[in-house]
Amino acid sequence: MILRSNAPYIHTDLNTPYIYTNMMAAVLPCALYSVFCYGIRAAVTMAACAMLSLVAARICDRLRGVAAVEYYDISAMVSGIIYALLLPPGTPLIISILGILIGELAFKQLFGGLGGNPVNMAAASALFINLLFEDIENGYIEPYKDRLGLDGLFTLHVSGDQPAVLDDLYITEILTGSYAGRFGTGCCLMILIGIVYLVSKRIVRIEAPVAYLATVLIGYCILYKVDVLKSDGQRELLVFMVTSGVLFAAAFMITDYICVSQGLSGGIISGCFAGLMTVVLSRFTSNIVYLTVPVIMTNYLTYTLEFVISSVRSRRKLRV
Amino acid sequence: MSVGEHKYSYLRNLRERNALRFSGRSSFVREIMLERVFPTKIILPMKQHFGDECVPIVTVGEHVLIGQCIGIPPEGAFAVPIHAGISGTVTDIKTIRMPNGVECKAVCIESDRKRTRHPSVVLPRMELNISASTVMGIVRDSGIVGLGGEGIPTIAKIDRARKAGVRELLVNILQSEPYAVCDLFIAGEYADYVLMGAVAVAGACGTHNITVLISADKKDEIEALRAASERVTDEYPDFTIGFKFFRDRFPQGYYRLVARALYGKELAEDDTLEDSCGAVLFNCSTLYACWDAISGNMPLTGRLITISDGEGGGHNVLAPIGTPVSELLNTVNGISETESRVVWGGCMTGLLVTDPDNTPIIKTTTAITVVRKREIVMTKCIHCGKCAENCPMDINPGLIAKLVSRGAFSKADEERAGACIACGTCSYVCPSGLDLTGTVAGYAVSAQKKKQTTEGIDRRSIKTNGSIPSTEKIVIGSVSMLESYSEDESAGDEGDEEKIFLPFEGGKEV
Repeated sequence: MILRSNAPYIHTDLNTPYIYTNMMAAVLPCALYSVFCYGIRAAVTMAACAMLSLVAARICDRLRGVAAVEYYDISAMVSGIIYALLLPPGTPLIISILGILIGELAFKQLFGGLGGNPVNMAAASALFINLLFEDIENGYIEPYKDRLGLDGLFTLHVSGDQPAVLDDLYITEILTGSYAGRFGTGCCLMILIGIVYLVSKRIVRIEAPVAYLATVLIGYCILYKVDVLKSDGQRELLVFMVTSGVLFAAAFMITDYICVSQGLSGGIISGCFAGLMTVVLSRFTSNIVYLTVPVIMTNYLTYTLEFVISSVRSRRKLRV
Repeated sequence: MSVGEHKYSYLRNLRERNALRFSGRSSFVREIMLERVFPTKIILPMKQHFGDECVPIVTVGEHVLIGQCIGIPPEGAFAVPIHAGISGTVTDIKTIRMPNGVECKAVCIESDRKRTRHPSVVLPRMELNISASTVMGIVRDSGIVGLGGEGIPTIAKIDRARKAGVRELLVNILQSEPYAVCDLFIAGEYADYVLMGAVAVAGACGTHNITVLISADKKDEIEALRAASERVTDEYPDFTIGFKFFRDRFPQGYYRLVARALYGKELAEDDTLEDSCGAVLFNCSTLYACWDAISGNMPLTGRLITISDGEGGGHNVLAPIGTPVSELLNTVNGISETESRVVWGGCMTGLLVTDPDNTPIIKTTTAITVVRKREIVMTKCIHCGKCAENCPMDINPGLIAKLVSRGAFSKADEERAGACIACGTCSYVCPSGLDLTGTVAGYAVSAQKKKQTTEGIDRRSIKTNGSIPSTEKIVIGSVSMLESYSEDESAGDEGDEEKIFLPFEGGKEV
């Protein structure tokens, strides 16, 4: 904490702890709904990931010689929960923990901790774990069943099945995430609550997520030749948008301050780029890859993008 | 204003929402009545304006009266005279250091509590049918400077406007800093005087077009100004008074942002509004002071100032210039020195006062703000980009601060660090609590100083056009200006450099 000796002597309430507290509040509906769907398994996984992420961040801060922060920093916990929500429910705890530790250390703390990470930690960790343990894509469990059960959670083997076949599901089931999907990406209503909350609190800007979703929507229609005038086409489009996790990515990964440009032009370009990559990759790769790789690629391009935008703006100024 | 009327803003389209607005914080403007402050002593610094230091012409023990000139510019200096705001005895002439770092001589006057005016300013001016050159003489001799904070002698600005042949005089009522409302108060309560002052100064500048710039949500002030404009244009039909409404945005009143909003022009650091846009911008308090000098025959001895407790409470007081801050604070109840900090100016751009007893208010002080001590959470930069989004000058303070801290000064220059106007917006919005304004503005100032040292001080840097060679300097009443105006009545004084005539004292020779 500091007491400023020069102007300005007032400060916005929108400080970093406030931002991450609100991010946590926005993620909470998805997290709670995930507990409602998958029971204790979800709660244990999320709690473990959040706490380990926090502890790892604290230990790394100490090792780096950073003075103990005087406020309650929950940014690491938020990252941990977002990562956990990207996992299939049948993922063993040890794999989840391994993912969060690698993510925290290799993608965040190695670069200086909060604010220094070049890529979204949750996306990178989820992708890393998925590439390392391909088996976890067989860890899908039917929701609402065996909520108190912890089968396979403390083993080394993935328990569960393939992702749900969505063709026979009712629209209400799709919208409420009542199918075998990831912990937190299934229920679009909870995700929408989260993003509306973030926007209403002015925590995030809408340019990047809106551009991302719009690009995915249009790109999907073009690439898959979806006839949106027919009910089949409409259903196909809806199913992809709601069940693929793009809503979750738009709400909690594309809005990442640290790694994605959030200005007007930067946000739109980043969103469009990530959306385009998502649609293209969705044709060739698995769900988690086309969800996380575009985010990570956008993260890497952020510095270049901001440099270009800043240069263009400066030139325009000079011309005026 | 009518529904659908265009509202100007320095940020446009979708970027509009990035701007800060603080009007909700200053609700006390209409609730608290104006008070007068009669201090027991005043401290009058000899450098209260942009330019050179004045020379005290009184001695310790001398008795002075209200309106009496106590400091005059030395020969050839870019300065305006300074007058006493109270009657009393000069107790000391000492060197003081003000919060803005200016070190200069100051005349301390102990009040005799009689409030006696100097004979030359007792009566108001009877003859108001005066020429442009007379207006300029009055404005210069009454020591009026830009009261909005810039402190450029008003006579220099008028002169620059005349030379540039401006088409429009802009009345700046775009005060937008939180808890500072003195300009709005003047615009609402003394609308007639502001516009009469505008007419007089516009005449001196050689234009008949006056445009009032005000935030669209200041309904009461707009109503008062509209009514006043009708009365003034009835009396002076040659002059037209128009209104341009702005969105309430901070820091909209800065001249480069006014140029961007009104004319769509980006002014470079050395550009002037007069040359680039054909307009001259005056703060409404300055115009009020001009009219006070013209009609009331009163030099600039006091000013309206906002005293705020930084929590939405406060009031406006009329205080003699030089009043110590501690005496002004006595007018506000419940200020705890241990829990609060006293700021010389607004809380976005002001300076910390460490010794309120010996820190006076000067001509450019618009507010004294008492801000509760509040620690700010400080974290590492999270690259949110809010500093760049909100920066009114379209620079990237976060990036520049990083470049400066790493010693990459040439890169910082490339990122237009010099364009920083130290408005404080970046530090205000930074979620990480980083002192971006201090870093960027500090670098910009040091770079400017370095440039001046290496290239020699260029008088044009004080925005005076620099078009007049020193041989053309005109000495009028021995109050020499670097820039001055040609007038017939001054010709007689030109060659007589030995004589010193005190302004506002009937040409009394000393």
